[in-house]
Amino acid sequence: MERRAAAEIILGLGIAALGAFILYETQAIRVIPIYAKVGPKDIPILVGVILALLGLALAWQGWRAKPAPRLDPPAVMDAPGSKLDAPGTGGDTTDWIPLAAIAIGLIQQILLFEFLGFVPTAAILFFCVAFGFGSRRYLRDVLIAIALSIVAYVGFVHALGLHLPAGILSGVL
Amino acid sequence: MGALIDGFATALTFANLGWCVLGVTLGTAIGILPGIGPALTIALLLPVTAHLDPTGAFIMFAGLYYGAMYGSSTTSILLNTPGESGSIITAIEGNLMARQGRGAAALATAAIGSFVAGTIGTVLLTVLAPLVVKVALKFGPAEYFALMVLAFTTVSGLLGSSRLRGMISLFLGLVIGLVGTDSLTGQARFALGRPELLDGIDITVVAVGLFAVGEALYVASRVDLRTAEIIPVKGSLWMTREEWGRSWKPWLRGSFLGFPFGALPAGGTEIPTFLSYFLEKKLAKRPEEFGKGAIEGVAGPEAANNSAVAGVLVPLLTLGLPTSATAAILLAAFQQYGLQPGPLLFTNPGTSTLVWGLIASLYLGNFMLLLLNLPLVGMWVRLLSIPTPLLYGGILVFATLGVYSYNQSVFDLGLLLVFGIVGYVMRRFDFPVAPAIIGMILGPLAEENFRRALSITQGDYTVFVTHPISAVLLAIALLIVVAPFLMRLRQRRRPVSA
Repeated sequence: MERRAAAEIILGLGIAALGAFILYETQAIRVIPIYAKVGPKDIPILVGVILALLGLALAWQGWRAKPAPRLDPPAVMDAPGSKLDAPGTGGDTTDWIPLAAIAIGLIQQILLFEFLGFVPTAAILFFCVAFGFGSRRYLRDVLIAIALSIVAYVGFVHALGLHLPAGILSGVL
Repeated sequence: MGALIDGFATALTFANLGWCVLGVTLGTAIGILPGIGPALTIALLLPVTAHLDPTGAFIMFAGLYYGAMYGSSTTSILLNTPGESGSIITAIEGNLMARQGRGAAALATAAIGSFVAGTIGTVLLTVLAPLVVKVALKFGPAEYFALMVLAFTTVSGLLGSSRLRGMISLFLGLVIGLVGTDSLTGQARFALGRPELLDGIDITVVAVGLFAVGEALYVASRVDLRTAEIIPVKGSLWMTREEWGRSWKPWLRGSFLGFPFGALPAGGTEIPTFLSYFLEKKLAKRPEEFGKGAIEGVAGPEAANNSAVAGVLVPLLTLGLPTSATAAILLAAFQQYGLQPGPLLFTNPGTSTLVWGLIASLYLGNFMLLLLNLPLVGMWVRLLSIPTPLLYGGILVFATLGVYSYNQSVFDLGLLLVFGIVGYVMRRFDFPVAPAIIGMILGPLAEENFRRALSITQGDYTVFVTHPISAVLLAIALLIVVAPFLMRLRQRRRPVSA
């Protein structure tokens, strides 16, 4: 089976499951009798039902897809900042190492943010992302990562008055 | 007219001129940098601007929105990378011009065309807004609900490669919008027992996750997208007589083509740019140049793109109806200040100075942008030489900083990762992101109006079809959803011939 069709089936079933979960969760919404006519439950039920149907439609579309050559038009409505996603540019090759590097950068920040503070975790994130995008000039990246994180911290906390955890550097910055 | 003059009095104060300069400069920079757009930037600025004077903040946001359109045409021409979906044509035709050594002329016709179209679009906005306000004052909850349903169908049905994918994106947005406390009864919905979710999910988290994190993951995962070739600017920025002669009509046609597409909830800037391209090709004396770098093919679509942006502001300001991702985030920004865009924004004396100051600042901003983007273009081009790994590293550091500082919540950083993965999957499998953003912002408003309309009529559902405006709007929405299916059925019934 074609990869795109398989993806549509899996995604479609996942979306249908999300719709079902929403329907299940609407049971937890309390409805006061005076609002019973059109209360806080009705629209969520409608959204859940339609989402589940749309998911099933996507899975059905993937199931019925013919293994024909891909003739998809370029995705017109891409996110701002996207590169042209034209067919034939190697769109099906996914490089997993960069994804893992960026994910590690984000997860370490979630886990260590309040303990280590903004500056160290942001610097590690920057380094992970640069590595993920193929940079191998480690010394340059580390220096820029540290400099940028310190400048961002000082600028946002002292100039703009936002609150960021100082962590292990509290008292220094 | 008097209102606009008062607006200039607001916009021309020292502080507000400063916000305008800051907005257009920042907008040009982010438009030029690949990987960030106006929607993402405004979302990231929401936490920083929460304590500012709203007039100044909106003048800055508007400058940023206009500026990003100018900047992204530069990137499209020199890098073959459309900064946002409205510059796809420029990325093709303008880049071809640059490859032929006519990059400077392409930049010039794009910048001057953007100025012409932006100014015409703003004039149309000035004239139309009070008229729409007059009609909108008669709207009740039923009409608003119908209008929002129409916007849902157009943003999910008319855009993107697949209607089904657009609808799924929209409904994912609606689900995100449902999380939190119900506005009419105060009941918690879908909070899953987490106190952090009781206030709902912030647009900043969702927009930054889908746009910045999702985009970074996607671009990093594709070897072919990680590198791009910058074409140096060649030729003179002063267009020749012939180039002026070939540009001015496409500018005007593009301006009048783009505006209605932005203003009607027909959504988005890409359809008018494509239409303008085909129109210019048809009208050109030398259509064979199209696809090889024709100046008309840059002038027309660029104008259409910019005047559509001005058009988007009409439903946003007069009806509170966003038709693009950026407009949805601007609506969230209004809500942050406790303001609800709509006719009352114009009639209420307190907010009418804000909205007319904003409109006046668009005229000034356009003029500043012409100066920023034409004589100073060489300075901006240097931004393109920032290596991609460092650029995305910086984007993600500021993305996490902005998301955390909104609520000082590590939980939001976790949500950011979740929406980043969702954004990656959507990009990878061609789901448009804009319907999700619009659904998330507009969904709760639609539900509120739906329930208000029904509580006025004591639960009588016929209110939506007995009110004529509401009935017409809902009929159009139904047609947009159903028509393609009917057409496909008809095609199938016809015997297949040759």
